[in-house]
Formats: sequence, C-alpha cells, structure tokens
Amino acid sequence: MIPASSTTHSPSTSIATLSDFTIADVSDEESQIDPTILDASEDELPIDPMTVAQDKTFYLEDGNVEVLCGNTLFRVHTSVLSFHSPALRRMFAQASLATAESPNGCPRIASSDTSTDFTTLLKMIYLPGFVALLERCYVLPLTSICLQIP
Amino acid sequence: MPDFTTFSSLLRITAKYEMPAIRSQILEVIRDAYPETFEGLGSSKPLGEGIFSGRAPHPNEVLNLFVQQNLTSALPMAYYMATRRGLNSLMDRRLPRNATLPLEILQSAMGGLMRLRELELNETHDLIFEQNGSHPCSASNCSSRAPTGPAALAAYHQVFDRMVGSSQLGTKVLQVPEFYEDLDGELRCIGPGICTGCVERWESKHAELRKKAWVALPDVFGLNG
Repeated sequence: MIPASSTTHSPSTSIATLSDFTIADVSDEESQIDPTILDASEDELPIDPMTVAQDKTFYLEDGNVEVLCGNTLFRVHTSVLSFHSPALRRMFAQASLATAESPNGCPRIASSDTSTDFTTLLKMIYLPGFVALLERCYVLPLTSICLQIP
Repeated sequence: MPDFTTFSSLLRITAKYEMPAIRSQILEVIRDAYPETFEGLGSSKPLGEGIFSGRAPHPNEVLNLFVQQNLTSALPMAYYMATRRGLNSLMDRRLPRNATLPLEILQSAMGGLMRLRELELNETHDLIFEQNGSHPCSASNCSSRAPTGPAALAAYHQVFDRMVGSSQLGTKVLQVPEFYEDLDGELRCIGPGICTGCVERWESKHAELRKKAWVALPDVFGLNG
C-alpha cells in the first residue's frame, strides 16, 4: 500500500491575476513560510522490512515479477514493462530472475525508486488515460493564475 | 494537469526508464510554464508553480527538481520564482528536504538576488532621472520640470518606491509597476504633480527594463558558465 502523506498547505502568498509580471503576489516584505507548507517526502520515511505491503492497485496476481520499492510490493509483468521501456528491458534481462528470492512464487527484485515514482510509472504503462492528463492541460488552460505584460 | 508530486515522478521515471515520447510532453509543459524567453511570457497564461493541480509546490522544491533534472532552459525562471520570496524562504530550515536548497544552489540564488538588486537600483535611477539628471518634460505644470525642488523630490521618491519596493530584494525589477492610484474615483499618479506624459514614458522604459532584466537572468544566477 502506498504510504499516505498528510498534506497541509497554508500558502503564504496570495495567488492573483496581477497587472505585472508577478505569477503569485508576494508582498514587499519577505514571505513568512508556514512550517506546515509541505509534507515530508516519501523517501524520508523509515523503511521497516516487517511492514512490507502489497500495493492495492498494482499487485497483479498474474504478474511474473515482484518489485519492492521501499515498503511497497508491486507485482507486474516483465513483458509489459519491457515493451514500454528499454531500460526496464535491460534491467529484467540483467537481473538474475531465475535465482532471485521468490517468497510468493515469482522472483522479487528491489528498486531504488520510491513507491510513488514506481506507481506513476505503472500508471503510465497500465492506464492509457493517465498520460492524457498532460495533453489536456494544453486544451484547458488554467486561468487561476495569469500573467499580463502590457 | 497532474499535481506536482506526480509531475516530479513523471520527470524522474521518464528519464530513468528512457521514455522519450512522454518526457517530451512533460518538457513542453515546463517550457510553457517556465519560459526561457521574454516573449514566452504571454498574457493570460498559466506560469510557474501555479500550473500544477492540488497544492502549489514551494518554489524551492521546483528549483531543486529542475536542477536535478538538468532542465537548463527553465532554470532562470525557477531561480527567479524561488528568490522573489526572499531570503527567509530560500533558507527556511523548516522546509522538508526536497524543498531545502543545497549550498551551491543557495549561493547562486543569493548571488542572483544581489545582482538583481544592483540592476534594479541602477536602472531605475537612470530610468527616472535620465543620465543628465533632468527630465525632458514639456508639460508646464509637471513636477519634473523642477527636478531639484522639494515637491519634485517627494514625487520622485514616491515613484522610485513604487518601482523598487521596500523589500530590497531586486525582484521587483521584473514586475510591472503601477504608477496610478485611485483617489475618490479619480486615477492619479502616485507622484504628486507628475504628468501623464512622464508616466507613459516611464511605463514604456520600464517595459524595456523588464525585458533587459529577463534576458540577464541566466547571468544573474550564474547559469552561463
């Protein structure tokens, strides 16, 4: 399971449409940053080997390899991942999958990626609509923040 | 548009796992939001960290990511976005690791702040007073016709403050100054007695100054070598 992050955000600047270059209005005084502005990044969390958990979305029962990222265990298809990424293809080819530890009936390899990054990778590969998010951002321009230069 | 966490992941994994088609889409988003050229700053256009859905990332976080990913063309604006919040923000120890600037980046940012401030002060002074110290104003009742008189000095002081602000950061040089204020429904120049012609001239010159400052950003933050 992907660790949930507690996100609290109290912006110290006001977002506004300004008649200047400003992207977000910042007062003349230096900004006072709210200490709770950001959540702790995932890679700062301690890893406890006893709490390894299967990812709720991407532990695919018919997958043929387990990938451990932090405390999160993914089970995916080497053929599918290799199809989308030459780097993954090489990684699977080089990894000794046949001799790897296989506690759940398929080889398990460890990745240096955070579970968030690896989840994003799997969304790109397994969920075709996910990448369309990027395309939509051009079609539907955000208007919350505008730049006006006379 | 994804949130910043997802966006960061996309940047990292498309590089690490060699997925150029998707990466080029992401880079296009960045080029749009963090333009390299002054002309890229089109009006009514989403820019900076405000393009991300969800919580807006701290600009330090964006700067760190862009440096890590070697996004050279986006770095000048990313530096500017981080520095315009001031020193407290750049050096805030309470920020998490991904928003804490490494020493080298912090040095570049602080050096840039000082250079921007120098540019702002020098150029703004020249802009208002011109090189010969007098103002070529033809309006007979404009304060700038007597540039050394107390009324004119007070008016100039107001205008100068409006341009450079009180932050002493130097980052206002890239912002459009507002020379008018609303007094009981009437728009008046913030410098008492200054005529419309002078204001228009300053507005025009300040537009040139903003472009000059924007072009100088890579040098300001030591990114050209």
